[in-house]
Amino acid sequence: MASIRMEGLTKAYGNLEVIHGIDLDIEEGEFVALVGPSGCGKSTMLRMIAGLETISRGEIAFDGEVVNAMSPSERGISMVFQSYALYPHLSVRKNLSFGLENLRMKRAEIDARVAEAARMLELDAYLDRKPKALSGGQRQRVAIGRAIVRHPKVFLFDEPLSNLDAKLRVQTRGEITRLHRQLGTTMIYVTHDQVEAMTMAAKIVVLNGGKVEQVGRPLDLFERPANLFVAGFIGSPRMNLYDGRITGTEGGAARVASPETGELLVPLGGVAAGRDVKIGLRPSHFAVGAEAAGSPLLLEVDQVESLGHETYLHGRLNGAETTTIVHVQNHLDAAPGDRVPVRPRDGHIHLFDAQSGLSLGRV
Amino acid sequence: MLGFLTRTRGKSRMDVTDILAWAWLILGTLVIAIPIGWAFLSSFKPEAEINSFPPTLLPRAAQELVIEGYDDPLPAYAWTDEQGQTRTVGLVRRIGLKATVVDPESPGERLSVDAGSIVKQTAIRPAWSNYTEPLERFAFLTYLKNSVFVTTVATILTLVLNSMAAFALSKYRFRGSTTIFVLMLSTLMLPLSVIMVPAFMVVVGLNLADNLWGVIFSTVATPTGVFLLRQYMLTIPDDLIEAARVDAASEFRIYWRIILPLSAPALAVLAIFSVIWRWNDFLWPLIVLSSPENYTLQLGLNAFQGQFTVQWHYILSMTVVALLPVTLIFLFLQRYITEGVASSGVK
Amino acid sequence: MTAFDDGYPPPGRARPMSAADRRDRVLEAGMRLLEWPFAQLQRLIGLRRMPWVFVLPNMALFTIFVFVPVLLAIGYAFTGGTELLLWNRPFVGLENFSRLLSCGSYLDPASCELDLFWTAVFNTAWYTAFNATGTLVVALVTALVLNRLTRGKAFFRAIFFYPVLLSPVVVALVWKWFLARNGLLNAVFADLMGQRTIFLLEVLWSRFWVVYVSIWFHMGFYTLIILAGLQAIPRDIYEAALIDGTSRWRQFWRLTLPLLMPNLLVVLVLLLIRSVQVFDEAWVLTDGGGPGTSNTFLVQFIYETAFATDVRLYGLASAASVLMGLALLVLTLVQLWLGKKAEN
Repeated sequence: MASIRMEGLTKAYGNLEVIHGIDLDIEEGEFVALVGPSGCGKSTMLRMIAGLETISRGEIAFDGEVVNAMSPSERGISMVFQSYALYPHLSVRKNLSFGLENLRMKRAEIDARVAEAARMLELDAYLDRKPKALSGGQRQRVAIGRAIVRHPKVFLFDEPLSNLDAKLRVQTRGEITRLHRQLGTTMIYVTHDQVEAMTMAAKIVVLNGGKVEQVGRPLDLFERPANLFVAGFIGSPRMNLYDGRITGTEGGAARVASPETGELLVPLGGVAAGRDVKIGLRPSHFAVGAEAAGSPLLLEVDQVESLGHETYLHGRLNGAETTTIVHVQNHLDAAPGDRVPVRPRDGHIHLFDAQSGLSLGRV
Repeated sequence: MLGFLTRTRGKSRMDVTDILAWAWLILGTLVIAIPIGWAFLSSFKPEAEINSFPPTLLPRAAQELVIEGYDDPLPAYAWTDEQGQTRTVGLVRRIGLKATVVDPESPGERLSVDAGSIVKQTAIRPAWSNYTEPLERFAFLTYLKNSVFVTTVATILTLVLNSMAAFALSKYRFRGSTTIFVLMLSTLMLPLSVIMVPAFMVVVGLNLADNLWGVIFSTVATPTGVFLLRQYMLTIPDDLIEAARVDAASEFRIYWRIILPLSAPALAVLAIFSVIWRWNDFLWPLIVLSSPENYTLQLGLNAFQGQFTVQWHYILSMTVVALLPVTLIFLFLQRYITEGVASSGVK
Repeated sequence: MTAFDDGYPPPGRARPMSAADRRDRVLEAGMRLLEWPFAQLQRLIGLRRMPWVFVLPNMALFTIFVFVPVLLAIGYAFTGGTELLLWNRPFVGLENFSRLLSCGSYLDPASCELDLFWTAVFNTAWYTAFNATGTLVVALVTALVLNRLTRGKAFFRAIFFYPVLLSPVVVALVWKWFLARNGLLNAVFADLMGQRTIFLLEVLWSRFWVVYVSIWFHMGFYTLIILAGLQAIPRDIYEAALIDGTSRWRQFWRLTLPLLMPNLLVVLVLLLIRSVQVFDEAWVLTDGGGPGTSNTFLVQFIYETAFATDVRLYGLASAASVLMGLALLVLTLVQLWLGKKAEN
């Protein structure tokens, strides 16, 4: 187990800089997810931590010791690759023991560790098979097993679930969190899927364009996104965002208006009238139907997705152009063409500066 | 008319184009098989028969009978007596129209018969001595050993050196890798005949002239082999190598335990080709090797056939020996070879 | 999970040793032996320089035996005398080239200073012309026939390819015997014509058989390449043509041939390149280019000028090599250009 500290971490290919001076601390035993859209630099960052990519500038330290010049094996890390990267010509047993043999470990110790990993991951029955003869889920477990047997200080996962079908993905998600609880090892998990990050990690690092957008606990990111990017990235379905403007201030409150929401009075100080803002409303933060009776806001419904225990309404607010998604607990009787009254819940309206994208607060 | 040149499939009846196509195939097969088959059959004929004209199809030799009371076997004849009955007898001697024969059933009794009533008996009997004598009396055993040595050593070195180079050129990005690759590719088409003289000088300069190692070393660094293996290794995912690095494998271990086993199909193709190339090499050994004790089989065969008295029975047997390994390889690995050629354009 | 504070479950008991394990241990020990020097090197120079270690052996041999000779070849062409070592040879400028190229009339080899060279040039020219067209036609027809086969394709493909694998000496000897005075062909010939012919001692016959044997020897290789090109033509084009009622004759000229043309051009240039270098099988078959000099080709001239005469004229041979190399270079560039065009 190790703590990891990154300072001014930069990666450049020639003149092209892809990681722009990242500072990040990861505590011992923490489960951290690096999340962001493809091309944001999250995999590059992971590979720099692993020692598979050189570090252009800045440094990485494990437990206070700078590891920049160390090879992957010297760093004491294990990695689960997106493609699993199982050695196709070796049996499962050999796949697990390969790294230990390279370390010239005693055979009894190797056998013991392989057996222990096989038991933890329920691979006992498949030890003598080749990877080709395994299902996707089993291969994935072998890849994890190969990481476990080395008793690493840090586990690195590079989109390990992206090759699994939806059902297995949910199941494996649970297995990895269980593994983390059991081993208590520091884990860094790269994914483009914010649901994975939200459900598994204790800490999420949102990356975009080679920069950290926000670091925080999953719920913090959901409830208090620091900027427009995080607001749009975290949460499913995405937050509804509208172009608005501060139309006036009254003491500690401000009037915000947009074609979609009409004029709202929100408790927000320190803003000047005339400022362009973005108004963010999460689909689940609307009062709908009877609850919103009397609201002047009407959702013109275009499409209804009913999942039985919950309902998504796609439509346009106040007849504006932008599509708005509204989430309703339980079933709601609505049909395309209906006009349903809705009201944003107080305390759940996100305001962002239109220029910088930074959050002005949640009101 | 010439519609057979086009392709159609799944017809129910034979038409003109089918007949022409099959005629072409059968004719082609005969054209290819007859000269080789003829050389093969002839290689078993004894010296006397190989020079007779018109030629016989199968190797035949006079039949002989071992008869009690005679030290040497007697040539066997079929004798038809006055009653019209035919018996096999041994010929003791023939004078004019009379022949003295002896019946193996009653060895003590000599019969004097009409020379016209006996016919010489021959039997199909391969002259194995064609194969054993060149190996024993002439230097063919040495040639054979030299060929086997050159082929084996050169093939092993080719596989090792080419695969190492291909590994470096396919799995690393390093300064100069493109230069090296382009340099190698550009000589892919360069024939030996253009650099014969300076290449020979290099061999002389390294003191390898008239030495089998001079033949071996100059042939192992084949651009073809590097190219073929590199293209194959490019298909091995880089993830595997990174996983191995995380698994604390040294670069050599990655090469030996991961890359080599996974490149087995390409290595097999290269091995087959290398064996065939080195076994068949002619011009380069002809330049490098000068003393007969260093000749390879191809050189020895060429030298032997150029001698004043042409001993076809020996030449043909040794020709068969020279084509045998290649033929066996082809029989067993035909699919690898034709597919390797079709996909890589290597010959 | 009380005894193990690192959180891992307690280790299981070791497996008993099997035969496979024992074999693995031996292999592993052997590999360690090979690995040792490489691992030391890696420790010394770092991972990033390791690729150099892997290319170096191959590169060294390649440089010594291919690259250096290429550079030296030009040096030889400008030097004279009979010394082999380049630095002992006097510089003669263009003398070798001017000797090769001095001719009364370029159409008449006898009027040239080196009449053998020009004879070889002309012989190589006609050989190349006949061999390239002959092989191309035979290989094309064979490929077309093979391509329409539904059964037995692999078998016939193998039959036609088999001679390619034989050695030039073997091929020459097989045919020499077939064409010999007591050979099989003469048995048929004597039957039909009433007399035997010594094919390889008559100028026209010998030239015919040199080309014939060459086609026999190599056509399988080109058949395979053309066949690969044919198989790359999508099947549905023919199905569309069939629905349109296109005749097979038209299908061949309007579909197959145009689609195959890039492939055929590459094959043709490859054939030209290989034909110019004719030596081995022709040399053995004709006992050194006979009768007379009817089958003396360029490579034979180079080989004999440099290695098979008492006075070894390395400079002259190299000058001839350089001229041939230039011709081949032009052909290679044409091929690369065609290849690139075919890709687009």
